[in-house]
Amino acid sequence: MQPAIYVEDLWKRYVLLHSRPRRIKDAVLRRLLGRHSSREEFWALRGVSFEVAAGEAIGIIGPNGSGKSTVLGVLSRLLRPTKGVVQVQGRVGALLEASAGFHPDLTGIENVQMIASLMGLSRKETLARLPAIMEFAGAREFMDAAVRTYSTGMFARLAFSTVVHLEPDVLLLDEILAVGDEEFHEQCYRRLAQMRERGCAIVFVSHIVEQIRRVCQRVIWLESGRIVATGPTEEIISRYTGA
Amino acid sequence: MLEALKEIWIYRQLLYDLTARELKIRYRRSFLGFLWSLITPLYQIVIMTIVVKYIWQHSEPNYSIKFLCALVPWAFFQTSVTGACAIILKYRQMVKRIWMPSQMLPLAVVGSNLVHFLLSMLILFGVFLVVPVVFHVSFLFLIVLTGILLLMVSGLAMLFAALHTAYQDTEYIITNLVQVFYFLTPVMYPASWVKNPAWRYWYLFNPMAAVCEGFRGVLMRHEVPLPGLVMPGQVVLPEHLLVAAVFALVCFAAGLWYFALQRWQFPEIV
Repeated sequence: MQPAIYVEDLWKRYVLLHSRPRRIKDAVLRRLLGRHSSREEFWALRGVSFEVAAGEAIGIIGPNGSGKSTVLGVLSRLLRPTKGVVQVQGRVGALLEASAGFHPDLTGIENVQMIASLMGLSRKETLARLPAIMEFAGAREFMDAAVRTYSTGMFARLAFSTVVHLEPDVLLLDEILAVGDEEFHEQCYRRLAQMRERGCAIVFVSHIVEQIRRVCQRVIWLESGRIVATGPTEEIISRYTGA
Repeated sequence: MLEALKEIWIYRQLLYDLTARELKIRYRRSFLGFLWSLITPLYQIVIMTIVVKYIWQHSEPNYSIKFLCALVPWAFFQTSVTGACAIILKYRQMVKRIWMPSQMLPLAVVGSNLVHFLLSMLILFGVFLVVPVVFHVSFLFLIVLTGILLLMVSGLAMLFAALHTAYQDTEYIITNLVQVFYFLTPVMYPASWVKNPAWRYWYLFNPMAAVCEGFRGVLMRHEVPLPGLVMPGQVVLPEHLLVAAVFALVCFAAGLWYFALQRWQFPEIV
């Protein structure tokens, strides 16, 4: 069977923001004067390959700047790979930087509808799922307020609830459990287990080992854009924490 | 580029939502909000009428109405083109974190201004009930002019939105360029004020001049710039319209192409 996620030899290069012209004036002057200040580049990923099967949850661990979030960015189509093959099957739900991409000035409802239409659901399908989304987030009475007025915990709950209830085939989660209380975390663990049983593939990025243990069967250890090791959760975690 | 065009259709619900959102911000969810937005054109017209009639003592008949006829399409052009520049940055929280067909953002600016334009046209027709202007079958030609204008504005909006996201002095440059074109286009004066007929002929090859004077020509003089319908002494001729239409198509294609080329890097640079 075709894996839900297939990544082969993925490379990603960033051009650092401060080294590119930010004004038409600068760009024109640069060309006229022939002043080619060197473009500063940074390779965030250097040849990463892995697969995730449907119904499998895979964790990505590694220190800051190891490329964990870049992997999720590429899988969600947000970032364009510099080189390599990336194939993702089905509908993708992503929580990057613990946010679903909510706009702070839109209300809860408007944001849910926006995300849903980006994920390819019709208005009717969205409205049918709205009660479940509000129920899970416990945000029923806040749905008509702009999300910038939400508390951090409420924001995270609604973002998570939105994405998991829109029936994604692939779920990309970046540091989602950095906020919220114990009870919400337990709620999330239960929901993620349900998602997996239904055949949803999950990629879970966290620097908290305990959370990875709760969610994932397999782990990828990333460092400086390369895979150091990959394998069953306990084995990789004990090597990672021991290292 | 074709993919970006197809996405406009696939994600039309999103375009509708974003347009509604822009309108809500503009009118602050009230009809009074719409009336408030009429203040700027109103004082422009009042001041220019005073200047033309009493200071310059120019004897242009129905000057205020002639100004209004061209101001409505011009305002649509100006607010869309300048308003689209910063739209990607305004939605950076979304653009950075979720994949989206981001050409919808400048198009939503155009969409909300189109609604405003259509409401303004209604008001214009309301004014026509009380001033000596005759409703005429030639008014149907306004649909063609609006189509050309919409295509041109959509293309420029996508082009400038993509440029501004990469180069942050774009909005400043565009705002000033638009201001220059405001004076080079027959908005606050009719094209007949360009006295030399040869100059006027070439002057109307400016696409916005053809559109604005085209609106005025249809509404005030029932002039339709189509071959076979040209009246003696008509200002906007079929060749002016043709150039404007081709320019609009080129703008749309160029805007879509440049936007599709640039948009993959938006999440990295906003």
